[in-house]
Amino acid sequence: MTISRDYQILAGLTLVFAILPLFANQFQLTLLITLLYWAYLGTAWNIMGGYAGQFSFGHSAFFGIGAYTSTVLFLNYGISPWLGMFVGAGFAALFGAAMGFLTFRFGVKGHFFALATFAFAEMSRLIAQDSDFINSTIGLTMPIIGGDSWSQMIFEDTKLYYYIVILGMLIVATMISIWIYRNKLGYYLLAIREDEDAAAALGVDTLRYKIIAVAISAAITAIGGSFFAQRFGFIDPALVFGVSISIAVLLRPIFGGSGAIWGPLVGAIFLTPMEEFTKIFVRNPPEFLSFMKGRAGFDVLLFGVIIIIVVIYMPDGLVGSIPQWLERLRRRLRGQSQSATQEAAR
Amino acid sequence: MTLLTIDHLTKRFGGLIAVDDVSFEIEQGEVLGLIGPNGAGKTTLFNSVAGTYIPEEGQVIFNGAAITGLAAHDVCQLGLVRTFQIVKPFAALNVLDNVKVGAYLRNNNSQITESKARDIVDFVGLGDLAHQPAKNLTTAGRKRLELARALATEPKLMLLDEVMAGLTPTESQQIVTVIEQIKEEYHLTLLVIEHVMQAIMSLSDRIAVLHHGQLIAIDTPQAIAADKAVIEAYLGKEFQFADN
Repeated sequence: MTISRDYQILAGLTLVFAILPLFANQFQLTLLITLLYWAYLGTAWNIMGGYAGQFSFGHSAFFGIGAYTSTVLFLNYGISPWLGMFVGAGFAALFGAAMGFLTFRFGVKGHFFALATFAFAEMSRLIAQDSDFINSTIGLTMPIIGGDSWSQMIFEDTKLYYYIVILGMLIVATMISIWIYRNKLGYYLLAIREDEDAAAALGVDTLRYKIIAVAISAAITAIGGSFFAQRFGFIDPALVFGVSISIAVLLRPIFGGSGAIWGPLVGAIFLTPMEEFTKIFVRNPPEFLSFMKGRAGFDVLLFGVIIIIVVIYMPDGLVGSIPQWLERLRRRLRGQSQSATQEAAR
Repeated sequence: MTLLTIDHLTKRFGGLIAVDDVSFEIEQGEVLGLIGPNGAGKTTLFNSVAGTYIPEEGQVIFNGAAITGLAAHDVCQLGLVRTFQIVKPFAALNVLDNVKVGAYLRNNNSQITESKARDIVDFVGLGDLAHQPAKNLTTAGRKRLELARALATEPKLMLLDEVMAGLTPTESQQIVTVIEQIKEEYHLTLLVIEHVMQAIMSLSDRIAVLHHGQLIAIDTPQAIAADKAVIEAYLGKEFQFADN
């Protein structure tokens, strides 16, 4: 059996990302972990927001459910986060399915759907803030264990282990994403995105498939939330249920190309270093830009500008637009050479 | 054998009765034309049969089962598929992938689906454009794509809603040929809404005429062409069959 091109690309990328840490210093390793982490979350968002076209502005709900479930299970019951993250995924999938049912069943679409997802995320944040058994607004802190522990997924000395975990997670998420895209489920989701009435007329149970897309996306996102809790060592409702997570999750796939398998990863490869360098830049700007020194939020401002540019010039994201640009360039070059030969013929 | 029975079907929008107590039957293997002036309720009748609308009164029985008020996707699952007057291609997907969406209804295997979709794309004459995005197709191409996608769901009965609207006479003629081939090759029963009289007269075994939501005549094309009420309501003058 031949291995399809998607999996060949995945194998190649895996190799590259397996080798990269060998040449990375601690700062670069942190950057790489962040990059893979956002690519992972973007891949999760893409299944719902990209493939199925159901724009979610509330992925922090799933993220927070994952972060809190694994952490509470670990802190209160001593259950390993390796297990807890799947429990969180299950909860998030259920929450996502319920949210999907409540919105899709009543025909909430487009902008209104995006707002509804935002409302669900805010609701979950407020509920978390008012729940004493998860320590309300104070949040939860991972214990300091003074070393590395694979069974507890806490690595205080060796960052590389987090890198290995998130790389593994990204590979699995990408395989799921590829499988969906190349099979019936993916075709049905794309059909729903393109025209729901036409999809229904061809026998697609649109409600059912949209809910499936939300549930899968939610489950993968929740595991990313668990990873965040393990790596960061601290969670509170504003941090993991906050709107900034929802925005950050959708930025990479939209910039890279939502609806494309590699969109989230490409987006993360471009945006993550840009975000980090902006932060560094603002910390210590050159003389003539000294007014920017220490202004928090400049990276967010930059992201705003990027989104505007994406929406105007490349609605299909990088993955979708680059081939179009190349084609246009090719045509222009060919056009020029044709007119040149016509000139010569005269 | 009767494939579809429409029994005293009524669809209202507020005070407007769009489909008014319509009853007729379609025999297995038959091509039934559905004509009538704009606003006569033809598309509403389609929508009420195929699950887009839920009719207020009456019954629809397809292949022995009552399908009144079933959702569109369930109706399609049972073997009744419809095309749209205003074509609805999955614009970003290529032609082959559009058809694969239809073909996935009957199996989950991607290879089988792909080869089946490929055959149908060739069959409707879009073979050379299989890998073009659907948004690049001409109107005639999009109409063919609608047929191909519907065909891929392996229906017993196809409802075609003005497949020839907006086409040149030549393109219409080509579509008529495709429809005739579909009927032969796939042993389908067809219910066809059409305004192009030449096409509908030659294609149909019988023709039903709607006017103000009511069925005013159902008969052979020859009889319909001479029917006083139909001429009054729709044709304007007696339809002249071309000499063969």
